[in-house]
Amino acid sequence: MLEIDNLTVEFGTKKVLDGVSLTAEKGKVLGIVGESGSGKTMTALAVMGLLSPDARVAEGSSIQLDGKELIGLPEKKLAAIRGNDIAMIFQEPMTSLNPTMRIGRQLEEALRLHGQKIPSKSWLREKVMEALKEACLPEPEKQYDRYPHELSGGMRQRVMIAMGTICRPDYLLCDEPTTALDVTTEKGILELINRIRTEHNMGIIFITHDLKLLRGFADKVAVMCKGKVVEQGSVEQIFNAPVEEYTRRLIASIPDRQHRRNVKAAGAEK
Amino acid sequence: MAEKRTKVKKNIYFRVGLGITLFFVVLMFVGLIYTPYDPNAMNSSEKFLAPCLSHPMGTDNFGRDIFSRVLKGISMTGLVAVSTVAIGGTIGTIIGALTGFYGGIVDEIVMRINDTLNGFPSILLALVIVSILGPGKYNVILALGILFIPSFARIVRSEYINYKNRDFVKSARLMGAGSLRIIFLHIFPNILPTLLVTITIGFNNAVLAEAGLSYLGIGIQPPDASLGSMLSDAQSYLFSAPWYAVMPGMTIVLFVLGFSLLSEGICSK
Amino acid sequence: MKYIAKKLITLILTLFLISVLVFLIFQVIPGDPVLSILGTEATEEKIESLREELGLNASLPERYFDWLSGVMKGDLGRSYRYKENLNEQMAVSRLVAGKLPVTLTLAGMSLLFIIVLSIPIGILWGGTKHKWLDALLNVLAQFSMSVPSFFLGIIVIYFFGLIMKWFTPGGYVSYKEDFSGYIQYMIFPALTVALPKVAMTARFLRNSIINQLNADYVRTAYSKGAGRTRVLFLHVLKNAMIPVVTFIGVIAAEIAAGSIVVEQVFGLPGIGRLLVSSISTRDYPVVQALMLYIVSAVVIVYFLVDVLYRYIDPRVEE
Repeated sequence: MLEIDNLTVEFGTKKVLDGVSLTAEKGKVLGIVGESGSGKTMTALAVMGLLSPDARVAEGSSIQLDGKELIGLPEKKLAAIRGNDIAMIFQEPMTSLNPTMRIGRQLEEALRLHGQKIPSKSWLREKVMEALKEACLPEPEKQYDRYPHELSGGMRQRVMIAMGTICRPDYLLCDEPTTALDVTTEKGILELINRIRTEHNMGIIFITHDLKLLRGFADKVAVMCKGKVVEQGSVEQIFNAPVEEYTRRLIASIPDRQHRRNVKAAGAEK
Repeated sequence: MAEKRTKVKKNIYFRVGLGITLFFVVLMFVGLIYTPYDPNAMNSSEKFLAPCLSHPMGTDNFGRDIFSRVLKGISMTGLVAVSTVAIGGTIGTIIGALTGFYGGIVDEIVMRINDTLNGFPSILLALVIVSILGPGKYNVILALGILFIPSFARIVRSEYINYKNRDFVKSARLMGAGSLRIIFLHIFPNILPTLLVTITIGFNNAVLAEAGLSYLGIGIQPPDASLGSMLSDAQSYLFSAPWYAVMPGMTIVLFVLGFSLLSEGICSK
Repeated sequence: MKYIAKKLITLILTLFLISVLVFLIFQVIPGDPVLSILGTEATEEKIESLREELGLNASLPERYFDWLSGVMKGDLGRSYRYKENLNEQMAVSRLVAGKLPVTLTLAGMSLLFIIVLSIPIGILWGGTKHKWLDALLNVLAQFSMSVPSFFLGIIVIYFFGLIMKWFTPGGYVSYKEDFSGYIQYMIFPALTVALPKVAMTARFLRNSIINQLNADYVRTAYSKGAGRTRVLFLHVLKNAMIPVVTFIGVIAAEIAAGSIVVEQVFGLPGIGRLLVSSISTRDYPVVQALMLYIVSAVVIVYFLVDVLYRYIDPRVEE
């Protein structure tokens, strides 16, 4: 279990996260939805311990991984957890890979960093190839020696996913992984994440501003607004009986007649 | 927080730079009208005096008062710097404004030439021009003035390209303003901050270039006092009279430091 | 290969343009070369015969191609001032060839110092978290960039030459006589050339590193579990070095073109010193040849930087 409890983060006097409490479980998908600036990315970065040095985590905040407190952990121990127990993929596949390092090397690095015994170079290559294949990257042999700029956005995001999952972490944080991609590619990426989750019993935290992506995908949804979690519940609950006005507006902004009708109905019932 | 801290630091740069520069401006005017001694008066009984009360910077190999000569040198260097920046700045700004605003084939050609000139070591270009014109203060001013045209033209041009399609320019045009009016009355005030930084850097380079040319003996010619040629004279007496080199040398360093701090300070404002 | 070929064609075109420019500049110079050689009291006949001999009566394009074919064969004309023997002026090519090794050694050693010193300093500066170290390096850099090279040279001579007596000021031995002595005499001039450039390059690298540290891929590397040192050296450094290579290239061009002032300060018989003395004595054939060398050196170094770029930045298209 990954438990975030009463997480408060401040920049100077400004609270960017205000008492956020969330729980993610292995094998389940927790969706976090909200507008930009609502604090969803900040939450993920706090879990990774990657907040910028100016940010201050307030006292009383807690992030626990299977009962182990992560806040206040020394940098070395955090680094050992990153990528190994909790991994993260980012919104911008175009800039999130090192432009001067070959794809294969970037994936290998994740393996090298986490102390597994590396019997041989060919073993390393095999592992990387396995991960690339699992991520359904076309022609993995060829991509291995390529540089990021030679790949399309969708391919790069697959590389990011392969890199995030190569050490078989328990949790994968996905920060708007499909926002920069077109709709067809988006669908493929979502399917891939879902498949990896079921195959390896991975817990997913999926951050998006697009509520409809979470339908039929997330087990639980948290709605964030201005650094606070305003509503939490199962997908059905959120879609069919949103309690908060803010959530209703989020649903209403989905350009789909069916959903809009649902919202209206929900509003009329009240 | 971090941003604020660098702002404060840059502000200190600005203040110190401005202080040094103003100090030198004052010295420059003082040097024009008053020096404690005649800077060219030789006195064989007072050769190589170390800095003392009557000669705060000591005297040189002819018994001339170094402080008076440094004052004169500051005036001369300042004069050269102001004139060269004025020449280079005016012509460069006009070229940059016109080419940037109108664009087209002339712009292409002028900018190619500019790029080529920019790639060259600046002291070399100055040397070439001086070699054609001959040494002396007016030729140095002309040479350095020409030398500064490309850098001004390039920076002003990119600013004009940036501004020429802005809404305020379009609305000025709709109200019937002519091109020249737009160029000089509407756009020009907007590029002043950038121009200011360029001018400060220009002063910095002008001081260094004048001192360098004079040091090499092809800049300001005697009897005009110049910080660069003083250094070159002082080098022969380095062991017996180190202050002779240190005084004009440190003067140049401070002069340049003032401008470079100032430009760094303005940049971040 | 296509990239290099393209750059090579540009290089040749630029060199051609430069040769035209350098030729033309010395056509507009006031003063008659014939009078410069013979003096004002020469007879009409003598002047005419020398004009013919120097090819001055031909048309401008003809004279240009004459001159260019001479340059190609290594014939750069004859100096007005230096004499080979009693009745022959010295060939410019011989004059320049004698001075060039000094300038090139100085340039090479300076570049070595710049690279060896500025890169570690830049990495330390860009990677440090300590505010005081950042401020200290900033002050040092600001100061070294404000000291003009001739004054820096004088300080070096005074301190290391006269006080510490580590070398003899104004002394010089030819590399033909004593190679290690020659190198020793070059160390301090090279340091003088290098110091302000070290400050500039280190500052440039520092800014580049700080820029790169904010890039998305750095966050990715951290999220993989990489530590700060690893991120800095394995990920950031290569990306941060890409613009620095161009920067060092510009500096290399500048010092290959001759550290004119520093040669003068230390009394090294290089081409910078020859250029200055030739300008003062209006020895135009020498000035012309040196300009041609200097400008060509600049564009050739730029070309080499472009080629090098191709190897360090995989994003440069073929």
